[in-house]
Amino acid sequence: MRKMKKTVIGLIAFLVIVPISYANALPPLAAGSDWLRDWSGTTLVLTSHTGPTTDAAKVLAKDFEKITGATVEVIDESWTDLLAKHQADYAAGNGSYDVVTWAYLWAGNYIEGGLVDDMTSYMNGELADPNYDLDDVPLAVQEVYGRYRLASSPNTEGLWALPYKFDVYLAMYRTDLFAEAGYDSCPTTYEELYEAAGKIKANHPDMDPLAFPMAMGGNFLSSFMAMNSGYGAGTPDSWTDGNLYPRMHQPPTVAAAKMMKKLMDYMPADALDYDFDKANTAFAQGNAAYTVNWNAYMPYVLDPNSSAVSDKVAFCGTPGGPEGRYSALGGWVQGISSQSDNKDAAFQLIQYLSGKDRGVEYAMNGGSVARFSTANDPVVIEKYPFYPILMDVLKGYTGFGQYRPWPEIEKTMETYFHKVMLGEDPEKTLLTGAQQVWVQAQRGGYNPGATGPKPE
Amino acid sequence: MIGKISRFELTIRVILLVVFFLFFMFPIYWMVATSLKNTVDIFSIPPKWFFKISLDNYWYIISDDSGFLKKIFNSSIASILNAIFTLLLTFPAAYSMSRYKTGGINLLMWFLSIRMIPPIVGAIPLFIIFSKLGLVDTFIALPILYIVINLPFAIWMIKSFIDEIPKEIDESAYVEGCSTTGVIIKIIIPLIRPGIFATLVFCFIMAWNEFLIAYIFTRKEAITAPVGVARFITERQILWGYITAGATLASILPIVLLVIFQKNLVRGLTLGAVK
Amino acid sequence: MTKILNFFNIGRVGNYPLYMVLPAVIVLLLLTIYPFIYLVYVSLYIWPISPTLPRIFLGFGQFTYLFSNPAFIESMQVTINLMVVGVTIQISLGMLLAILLSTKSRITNYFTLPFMVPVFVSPVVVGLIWKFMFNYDLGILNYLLNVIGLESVNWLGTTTTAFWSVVIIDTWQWTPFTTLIIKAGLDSMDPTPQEAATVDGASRFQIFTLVTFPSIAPIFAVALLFRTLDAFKAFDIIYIVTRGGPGGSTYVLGYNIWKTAFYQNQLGLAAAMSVVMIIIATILAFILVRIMKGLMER
Repeated sequence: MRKMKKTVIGLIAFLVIVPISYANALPPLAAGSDWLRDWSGTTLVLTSHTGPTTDAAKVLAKDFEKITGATVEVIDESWTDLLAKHQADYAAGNGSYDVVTWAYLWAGNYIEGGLVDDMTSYMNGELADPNYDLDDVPLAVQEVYGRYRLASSPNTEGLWALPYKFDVYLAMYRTDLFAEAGYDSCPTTYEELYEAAGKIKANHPDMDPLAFPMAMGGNFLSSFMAMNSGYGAGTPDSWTDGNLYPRMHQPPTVAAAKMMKKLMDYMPADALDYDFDKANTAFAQGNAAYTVNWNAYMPYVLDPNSSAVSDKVAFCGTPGGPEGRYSALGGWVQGISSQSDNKDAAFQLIQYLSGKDRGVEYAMNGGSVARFSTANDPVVIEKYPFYPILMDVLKGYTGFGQYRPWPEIEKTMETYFHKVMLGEDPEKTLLTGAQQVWVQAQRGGYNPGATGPKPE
Repeated sequence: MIGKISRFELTIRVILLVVFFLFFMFPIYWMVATSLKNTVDIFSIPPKWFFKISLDNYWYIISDDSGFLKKIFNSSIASILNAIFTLLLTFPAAYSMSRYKTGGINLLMWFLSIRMIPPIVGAIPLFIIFSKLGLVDTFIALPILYIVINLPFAIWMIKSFIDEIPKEIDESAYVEGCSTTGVIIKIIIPLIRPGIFATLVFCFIMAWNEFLIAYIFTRKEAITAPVGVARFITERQILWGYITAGATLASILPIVLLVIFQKNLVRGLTLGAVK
Repeated sequence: MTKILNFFNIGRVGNYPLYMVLPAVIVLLLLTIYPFIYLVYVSLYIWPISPTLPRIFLGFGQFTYLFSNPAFIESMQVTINLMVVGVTIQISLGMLLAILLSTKSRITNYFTLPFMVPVFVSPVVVGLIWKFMFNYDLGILNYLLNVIGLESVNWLGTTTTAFWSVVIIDTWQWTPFTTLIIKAGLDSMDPTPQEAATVDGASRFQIFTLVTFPSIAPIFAVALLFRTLDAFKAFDIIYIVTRGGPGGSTYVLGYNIWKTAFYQNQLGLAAAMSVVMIIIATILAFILVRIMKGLMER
């Protein structure tokens, strides 16, 4: 009788456990890999913006397809409206995407909005790349790209994203024109830049020496960010404090805005229409002596096929202000869509694209990689000499806001900064802007009142 | 204009016309010229008036890499389907409103007011509904949505064409025992054929050129030509060569239709309210 | 309803007139009523796109915020300015061109077709071409100005010039539309009154203002009506060329709604703006149709 009972219990246990473990079982390892699984029959959709990084991702995705048998569809579109598309898709419950990429400044919308999953358990699990080496990614990048530590975060310790495109704002200058004006290296402060620009203009009256992206839509703030922190507005967030109380009307930012207005003396008349592309093209055509832009734009200037000045340029960090020298950190990240049906496979794709072993290949194909190993690789440096500088300048970085109301606040700030650039009174104008930001922060669910009353 | 015009005045008029002609035609010329240049020439200052014609941009556009031809195809499908849907809905309504004054001025005004609604306004709720129905990025989505844009205009146009046909013709057909559908098909349609063409072409072109709705409601499969052109604004740079080549290709069809149907289109634009 | 019932007995029809109109009406209702109800509902909340985020009921407060929001007021002004200025120029220019094209001469016949082309090019394409031409350094316009000896114009870089640049683009694309309508009106006009006036010794100017213009007034009104309604909706050109800048000088309502909804994540606010926009558009259409009706009945 007892034997019978044991057998029955054993049988029941078997019948219960086997289906469960079968359902949770991972596919076997793919041939030729010690961590990638066999994902034949799975289709993964990666959504990102058009450009060289996504082109590089497409190349690596093909390798991933070969090894794992999965099909990877890369949908790329214009970056400006990617946020809209992702949100609309999520709201409609379509679940069209598996790997989602976003600009980290939109993180609030993705993380608080529930569009992406926390990857911490994945990172510690069987599906992770054993050679991934997260420490190879600069801590600044890990923090800004991967973590979301605001009080409104679903999990302040969570890892929400891994790097997709590494963006640092650098300065590029014409060695010949600066040498002519008596400078053998790039300016270290904005005052020095102003002087140098003056001298270059004296030598070349027809040229507008400075090509700064100044247009609305993120261009202006990118150029202004390091200046703002350099004049003492704070890092890594120079725009607001923890309660989203605005800083734009306070003395450091006002001073920085005045400096930017001064620099406009040496920018083209339609500078406020210059976006990243326009500034870069102007510089590549030889129409400017000094430009600031994201490092992703720089290969265009180094390529003799597209640039008239490829042999006359050098790179350095953006200048500093009285309170320090900072570099603006931008960038795109990738995460797992919360509505994906293939999260395991999606995670592996993300690991593959951002892993240490693929770093050099990614960079050489045009992607922008945030890894020490890649930045110090001689082959990479030969093609892209600015890589070591990227890592270097990270020591003092400043960034965009990541909280949900950021896009609204960004627009408000840029509108009022533009007004200052167009000649309106800085103190008054920025104060009006700050008042609006305060209200927007409130409507966004934050509590700027905890820091102080509405500015007046 | 009545009366004789002096030679002097005629010359002035012709000069003015030429000036305006240049104003209206120059951008088109510039678009086509840019599409035929290679990248270096596009950005050169002073602009090159005489340049080596390069078909590079077009080769790329036509190639599989760019997928642009598929977008032209998608535009065609969307526009044709929409033109058909719109006309099917228009005929009965226009006939009824013309002959029986159904709904009177109020219905007419309601149709008109629909035209004023900016597409963006309806986009979000419709997107959510269409998503739930699985219609996003399908070939059927845009033709349905464009009905909102085209139907008011189509009804207005067809109605005014029908207005021109004397009611007596209908009456005699009815007397002979024709049904209403019969009257429409056998009598009205042949009589206003130019007007129908004009309306068809108009709807087609409006659908072909539309951007916002196409942008929101397509993702990969059903992307249309205008959206395709806009996609050449990449993160790195604006690819003027491809944009102008794509734009030229996307504009050929409407312009060809314009040339073929010009007389009818002009008549159509008068909306019949001229008489 | 009574109107329809009244016409019940014409011809051999029963409820036919009603049924015939119904398909069109129903389709349009489905595609417009639902969005409108949705918009009105959403406009009362702070409503992020993502369903996971909280929705806060504001009720009428949303509209108070809206009307005290400088960005909204500015976009209203910009939209109205663009509309009024643009349409006025397009109608006037259209009239001028229509007269020129009506000149009885062999040469003028060839001009009609080319003039129609701009209307039939996609607004996206139009925007891109002009954006390229307006480029300060690389654009053809400044080059041509320089060649004549004039200074380059900062077409897209300052608030005033950007506004006028958009007006230029809009005029370029839509004047042919008004021209053709007015020309058709001129063409089909009965020449008798004009001939009579000439015989009576009226000057050309008098003939035009007192005879010609009144008889094409209905057509004129139609052109005015359609152009105004379309101008109110302006979006494509702004999206491609200026993106609302610089500093908000071309930030039209349509673009404002787009940005607010999709980029700033404030669906509720965007819905409120949409509701306001629909109401204004309806009133506009009402007024214009009344005027048109008045003119037609004369």
